[in-house]
Amino acid sequence: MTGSRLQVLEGLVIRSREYGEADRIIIVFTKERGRVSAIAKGVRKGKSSLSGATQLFSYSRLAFAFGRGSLATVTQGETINSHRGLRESLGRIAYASYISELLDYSLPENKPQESLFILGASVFAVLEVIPEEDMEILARFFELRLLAILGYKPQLDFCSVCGRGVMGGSFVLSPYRGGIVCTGCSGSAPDELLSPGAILSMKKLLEIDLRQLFNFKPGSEIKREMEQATEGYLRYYLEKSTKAKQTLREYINI
Amino acid sequence: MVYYYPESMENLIQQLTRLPGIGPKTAQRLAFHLLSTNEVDAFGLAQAIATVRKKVKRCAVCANLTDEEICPVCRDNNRDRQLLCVVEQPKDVLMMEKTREYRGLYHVLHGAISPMEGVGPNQLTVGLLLERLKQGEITEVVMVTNPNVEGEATALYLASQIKPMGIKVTRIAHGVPVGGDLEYADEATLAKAYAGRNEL
Repeated sequence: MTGSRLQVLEGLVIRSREYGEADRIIIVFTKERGRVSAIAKGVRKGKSSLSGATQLFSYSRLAFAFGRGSLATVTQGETINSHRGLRESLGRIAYASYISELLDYSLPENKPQESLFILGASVFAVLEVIPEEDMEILARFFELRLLAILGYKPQLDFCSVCGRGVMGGSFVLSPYRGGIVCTGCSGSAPDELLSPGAILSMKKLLEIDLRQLFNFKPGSEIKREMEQATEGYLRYYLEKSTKAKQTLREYINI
Repeated sequence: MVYYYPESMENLIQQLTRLPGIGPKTAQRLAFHLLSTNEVDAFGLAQAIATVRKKVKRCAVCANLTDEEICPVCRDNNRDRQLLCVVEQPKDVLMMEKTREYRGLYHVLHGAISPMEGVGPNQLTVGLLLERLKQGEITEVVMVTNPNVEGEATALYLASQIKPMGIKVTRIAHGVPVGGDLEYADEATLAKAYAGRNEL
């Protein structure tokens, strides 16, 4: 192949789609180059050595040939961690799909994003081993940390319009204002309200170390408020809503 | 005036370009071939397309493709009517038949659950399957979906729906392919192959 350049990269397979008779198009989140789209040829035939390494959710070492087009070709590969546990329960598949989709939408092509890579890789590793009831808080942690890394960290200290403090009543999270806005200034529908408890929990998720995360157990009402708030916030900044969340809400509680 | 192909020829090329994996050059070559080949072959192809579109539909019981209301497999009384294989695609039925090991019935989902592509159970023939199981004849359902994330998600979801009905749900084993090499088997496959080992 003239003009192509070979590079060996480690990364997470965040999307994997069947293509043609036996090929697979994958999107890999690598540390060195960020999001890389590539075609892996012949991987769906039983005897391909690449089929495991290019599976969705795998963390693999892959050799890419970068040509002139936007799609690289995977030439060799080995699995470092297949994240097998992520495929063994519906809930884990759901959350891993959701996190993959968010990563996919927030990454520019071929640009390194080291802090996001560390976040993504560690959340994947943790998701494989935690009890299923902790998956929800991990997702909230991931959403808020993702926003912070992308530069969209919400301002949670006071009303973004009038400056009223958090303890002074109810708020909503306004993506347009980049933070919380008190109900007096926003006039929003009551089902989107954020209580002071939810705001403090979100602040905590923005600061907490991942190792300490599961000692933090907010109540179900606070979790529901946070979920609604971050969903709208992400939709505004990523300009997309995730399919994984929509599909899975229909039959399991994500 | 610049020369173009006759309109009917242009139309044929356009239609052929819509097929998967066929670009404008291939379409042109195919169109020329259809013109130069003998009439019987060309009309035979046209006829075959028309017939298949008119006749082939989904079986009312198993959703596999068939020419009739109920497919021959579902009508076959020599099969084990208590055993049901759930597969993703009609071609998977063919693969199972080729094994000559399996003598039960089938259910074709026409896809797999894929959260990231937005495919949920409602886009598949899951409703038909659950209705069929309620009739109580089937005692074991085997999940023969692909060993990838979508196939696993589908198997896990269906198991969660079917088990409460008191029906046994099983999954095909995962392992090293016959004629393959251990060196190329990845860790996940090998671990599953080990877990499912048999006594010699």
